[in-house]
Amino acid sequence: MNRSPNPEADEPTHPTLDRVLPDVYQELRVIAHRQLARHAADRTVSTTGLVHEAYLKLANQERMHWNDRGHFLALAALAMRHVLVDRAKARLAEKRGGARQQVTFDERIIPAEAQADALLDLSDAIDRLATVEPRLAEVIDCRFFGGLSEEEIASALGVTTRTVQRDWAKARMLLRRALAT
Amino acid sequence: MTPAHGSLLPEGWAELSGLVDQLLEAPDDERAILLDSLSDGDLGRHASLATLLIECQRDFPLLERPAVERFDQLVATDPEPALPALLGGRYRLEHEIGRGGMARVHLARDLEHDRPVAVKVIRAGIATTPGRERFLREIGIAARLRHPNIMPLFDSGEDADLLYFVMPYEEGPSLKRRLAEHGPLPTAEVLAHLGDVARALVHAHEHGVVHRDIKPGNVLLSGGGALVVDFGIAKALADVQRPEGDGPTDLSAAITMVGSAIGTPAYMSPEQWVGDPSIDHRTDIYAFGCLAYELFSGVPPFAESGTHHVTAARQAGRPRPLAHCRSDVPDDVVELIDRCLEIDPARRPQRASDLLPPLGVGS
Repeated sequence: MNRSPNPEADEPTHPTLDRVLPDVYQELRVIAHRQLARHAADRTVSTTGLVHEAYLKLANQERMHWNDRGHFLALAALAMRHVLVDRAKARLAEKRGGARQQVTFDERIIPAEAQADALLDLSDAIDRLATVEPRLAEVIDCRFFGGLSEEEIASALGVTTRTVQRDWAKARMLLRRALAT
Repeated sequence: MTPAHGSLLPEGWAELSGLVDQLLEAPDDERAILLDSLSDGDLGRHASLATLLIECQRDFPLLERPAVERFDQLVATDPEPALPALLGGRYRLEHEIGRGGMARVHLARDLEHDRPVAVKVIRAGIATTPGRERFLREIGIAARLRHPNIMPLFDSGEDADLLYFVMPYEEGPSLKRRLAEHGPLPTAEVLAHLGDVARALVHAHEHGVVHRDIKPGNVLLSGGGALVVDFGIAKALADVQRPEGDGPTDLSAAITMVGSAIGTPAYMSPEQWVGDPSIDHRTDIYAFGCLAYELFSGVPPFAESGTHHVTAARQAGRPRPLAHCRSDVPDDVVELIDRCLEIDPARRPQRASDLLPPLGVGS
């Protein structure tokens, strides 16, 4: 398992995070948690829906001077990743101690721990990518975790959609390399 | 192990990154020329750029679906209630050994007989729908099956609003895992497994039980023989989700059935996929053909079409001929598999016992 050498770095410095108020970000995470739980129950999960709903809720609160919609969506996407990371860690902690046994009764049964491991590895790789190619990391967060469209990502990051497409291709390539080792 | 920062980037990335951008920007048919001109005679750079370009264009399956789908098990943080420590006053639940869209599986101790068992607990959302009696009745029918190639069902019941059923604890491996670890299997082994599965189908069909979800993950290898698990479960689950009444009598009911097609797309017969209420044992014959195809080739038929297009490909025609993957499959068996995969159930082998002679096994 590839784990970041500094386990305390739960919330690594991130270019988007640096630009916003920490409490807004915390609130986003709370919303993301609550929404994931609700959507898991009715089994109709759509990240885009979650991210946009979070935006509507927070943007409606007057105490937030938040008029940069694209920027906000990018942040919500990052919150979504961190919420999934929280859950992956909780899942692994819960399993610790219990012997793992393989019984395949059903191929729909994928041990949750396998997903948790994969997600933590991916998130680590994205964090490392963010330190050297921050925009590429943001494109991954926006598209994969936030489900944002290319146009939304372009507006969030202040680039053209062509750039978003190239960034996605490059980021995907770099992450695959990072995770293949 | 991945070393810390920096190693993530290919060597010379600072310079190569912009060139890769230019290549990605160029129309397909101009890339080769552009690649030559950007490398400017430097063979090393030419190779690096060519590799990076190819890698940029490759899919990365991990990222193809949105995160909440790819990591759906993390999204589903147990909307169902915690399970009691003792189920039905008899099964002491130990740890979870698997979970899926329909159920959670726990290793448990059967206190009455002091033996390990696997307890499959149906997800709460499914269990609370009105069809629970039908579910238990259907499970009860399946529980009467007794055959050396059928995983017996010890018990089933409900407790604290949960539906569960109990079976022997069997470590496997399943044919799914066997395939994952080994790839296509040797002909003699495949024929032995298929013979076992076919005999299980003969017995179950004779007793009026259709499996509806035959696939590698539902066949466990145990003491040299193959055991088919979950007989009757797919039918029982479909019944639970079906509206009240004996069958869909109007269009909306029929649509509900379609929406809740229970099974696994890669192995599902065309009639089962579209929720045809008249599906019969021949849906298992079709899935048997998919299973046989996969054991020989390593992939289910139509796999190359991608999961979303399997059904369309299946409706449209034939899978890639097995002979393209390997040449040592007996002709009779190739022909048998072809017939099992017929779209029209009437063109398939009509009874499970018809599967046995081409496999060279007796009943």
